[in-house]
Amino acid sequence: MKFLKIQNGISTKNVLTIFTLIIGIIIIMPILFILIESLNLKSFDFSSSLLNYFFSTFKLVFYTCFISIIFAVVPAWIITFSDIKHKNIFDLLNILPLAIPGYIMAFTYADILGFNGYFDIFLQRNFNTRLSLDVLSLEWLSFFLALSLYPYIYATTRISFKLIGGTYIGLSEILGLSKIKTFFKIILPLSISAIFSGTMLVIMEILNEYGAVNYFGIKTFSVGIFKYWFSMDDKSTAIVFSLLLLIIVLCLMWGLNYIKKNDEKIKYNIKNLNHNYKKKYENKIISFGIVSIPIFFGLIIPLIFIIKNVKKNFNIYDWGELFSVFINTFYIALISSIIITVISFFILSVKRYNKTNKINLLTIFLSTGYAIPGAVIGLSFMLILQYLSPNLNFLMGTITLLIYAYIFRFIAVAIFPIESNFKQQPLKFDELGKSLNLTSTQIFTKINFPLSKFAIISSFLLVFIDVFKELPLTLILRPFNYETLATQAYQYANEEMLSYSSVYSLSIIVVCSIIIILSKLIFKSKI
Amino acid sequence: MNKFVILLLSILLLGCNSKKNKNEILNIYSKRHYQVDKDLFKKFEEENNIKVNVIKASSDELIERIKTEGENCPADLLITVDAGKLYKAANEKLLEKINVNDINGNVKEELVDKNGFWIPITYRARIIAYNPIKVNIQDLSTYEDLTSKNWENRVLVRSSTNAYNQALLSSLVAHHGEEVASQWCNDLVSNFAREPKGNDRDQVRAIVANIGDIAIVNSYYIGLLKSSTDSLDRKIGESVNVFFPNQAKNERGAHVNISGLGLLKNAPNKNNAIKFMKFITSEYAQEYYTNNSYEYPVNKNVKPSNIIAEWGDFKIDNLDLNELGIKRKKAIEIFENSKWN
Repeated sequence: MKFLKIQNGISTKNVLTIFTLIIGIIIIMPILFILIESLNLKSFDFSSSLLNYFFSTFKLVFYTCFISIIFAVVPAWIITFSDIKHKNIFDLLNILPLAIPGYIMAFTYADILGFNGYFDIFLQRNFNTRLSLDVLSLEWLSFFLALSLYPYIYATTRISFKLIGGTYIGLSEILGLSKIKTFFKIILPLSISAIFSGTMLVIMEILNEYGAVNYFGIKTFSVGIFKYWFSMDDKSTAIVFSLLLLIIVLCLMWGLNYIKKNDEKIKYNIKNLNHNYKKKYENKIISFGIVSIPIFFGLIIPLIFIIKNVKKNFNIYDWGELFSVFINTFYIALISSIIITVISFFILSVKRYNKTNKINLLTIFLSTGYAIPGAVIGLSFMLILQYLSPNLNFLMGTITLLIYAYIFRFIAVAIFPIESNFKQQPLKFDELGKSLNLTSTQIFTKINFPLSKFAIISSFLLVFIDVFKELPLTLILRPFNYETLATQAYQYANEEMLSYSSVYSLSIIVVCSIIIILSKLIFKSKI
Repeated sequence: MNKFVILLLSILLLGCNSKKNKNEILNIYSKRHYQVDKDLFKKFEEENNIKVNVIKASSDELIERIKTEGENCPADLLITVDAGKLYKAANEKLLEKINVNDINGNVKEELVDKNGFWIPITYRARIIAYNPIKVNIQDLSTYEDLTSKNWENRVLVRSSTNAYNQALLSSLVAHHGEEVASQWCNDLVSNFAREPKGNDRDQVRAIVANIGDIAIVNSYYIGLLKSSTDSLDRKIGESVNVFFPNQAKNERGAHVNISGLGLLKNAPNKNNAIKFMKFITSEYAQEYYTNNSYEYPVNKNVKPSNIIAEWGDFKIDNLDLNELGIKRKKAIEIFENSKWN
């Protein structure tokens, strides 16, 4: 009997592993497709163009990350370690720029700072001078993108700073280290993996960006993939570009894992005392100013202009259309995020219990979907359908295919929080459960699931926000007459009707903000 | 929990079946994304009691989608803003020949596809907008002349990834061959006032901002600026003049491109598609187009709107517009090897 039980256990384990692998492989088909296609490449000219694309992509990534890190780390440091008031509000305001999609941020600023933009007119009216600024450049775009992406780094860094607690700082004070030295010698090294995790998301977002880079005339890999694939019918170069993107992302993820592993050696379990430097009055004003800068540029300014535009067009909006588009978007975001969260929780649970390399590898591949340009994913899906069978093409233009593509694209977003939560639940808990004679199912339902509840909720909310804002995939895979807030906002902005598009942008921002605030409230009351 | 799963599944399956609607419909894949089109689709729906379903995306993406969908493709018509893309679709054997007689034969013959695979909806010229204070009109002549020393640091144009520029260069490849076109491209780059960026309207704005003196842009953008509800845009539109290049006696005429449509091979609602073609080339629709989007009408009986009529008549480059698709790959290769980003 005992023997049978073990046999059963093993086979259930195997079945689960195989089942997970099948689900995973179905999800990562676009990546497999790129890999298979790249094996079939006969020749490729590595010469000039590739380097151009590589350097401008690198430059954009580097500048944006640099600015984002400054916007994120400095306020996070001040908010954590100074006795600044209303910390919760500052926390929230520093996360909220995430609600503004990168392309909307870039278009809005290009409009404000462009020729005959608000700023130019202000100068003309008040100072009788004109703005001689050309904001349509790589450097400015980095700034605009950083404004909407820095919250990713802020969030991870802030948590890490909080965990460091007062003891380390107290020790460094006793040792006579200055604040700056403490920051660079203690706080920063201890938080490097958190900063890098956030930066990783920022990099993936930049690599996936298409709308804004195209408008700003910057040759990134996404732009290159489009150009070669379509305009030049040169699929092999497009595949090489996609492959390169994949390799870059895989390397970054490997680096992140490496840093995280090192990090695990550091123990945070010293008493988690809050520590505030005693501040002089004038320092408070400076701190307040520094903390407000990213909020001012990332949230307040764009919001003022978007609201101003909405007011301007208030009487000509088709409110019925807005409502139906809103419902569409809400509905698809809700369904997709439920499915995505459930799948990622399932896969990660199986990974936790069955430590096989195959599933480890699978989760790494699953996470790369986030960096592949949405439109490339869309096209890969089409080509896969073409390859597999003509009988499958009835799937084109269905919500089902669109959701499938969202799963591939956003599963990484759901994986990150759940995985890091699992890491915080030592296997000892499971062993304890076993010693109490609990079955695997009971361990799962009584121990793991309740402990993961908040990670699951946060995964769900993050995915919801992402799907809600998603643009390129939706544009290419959507059914007839199907619009989301993002497609509407983008299309109107693209038609050079930015001010009309504002109501759609505002709806995205409002909903995403509500969700961010909601998740903050939930976590505050429960943790 | 079970109920929830069933609900979820039924919602997903609903997505699969959404296409099987038996009412009178017309399915359009369109690159055009203007308000004018929306208005005209609505008018067509009202007049014919046919529901128009639309998916808007870039032409290349739509062509790829049609290929994927194969025989199951629900679309009847493909609308693009570039003859080159219609050539591409025809070349991929996605289009069916259109009998021009079906659409009353009132479309300008020189703009109709010689192979019969597509018809034009509107046309536009790639013109030179110039600052009348700083540029003497006598100095302007041809696209080819824009490479002369006279225009050093004065030329504005958008990025080479844009289909309008690709079409212009394709026409130069077709007329002069690869080598001359390539030389033209390189020489023009050295006359740029700044790195190419923004859209066509941004080039016109840059003239007014004194960043450059002349801009290569599509004609209708000037019309849109002049008629804008925004007083500043109107002012910008008024501040520049329009010049049609290559108009001299021995010259070929200004480069034009069409916005057009092709009938898809597996179109499930062919009759409705033909009704739509008649409608869209009718005097009503053509007048609506020219008066609202400031493109040139393709119906012989319709006059251009007042705003664009002010610029006067011009000679059109009579190049077979399919050449804009045939020479496209070469043109992009030239762009790739030049410094025109």
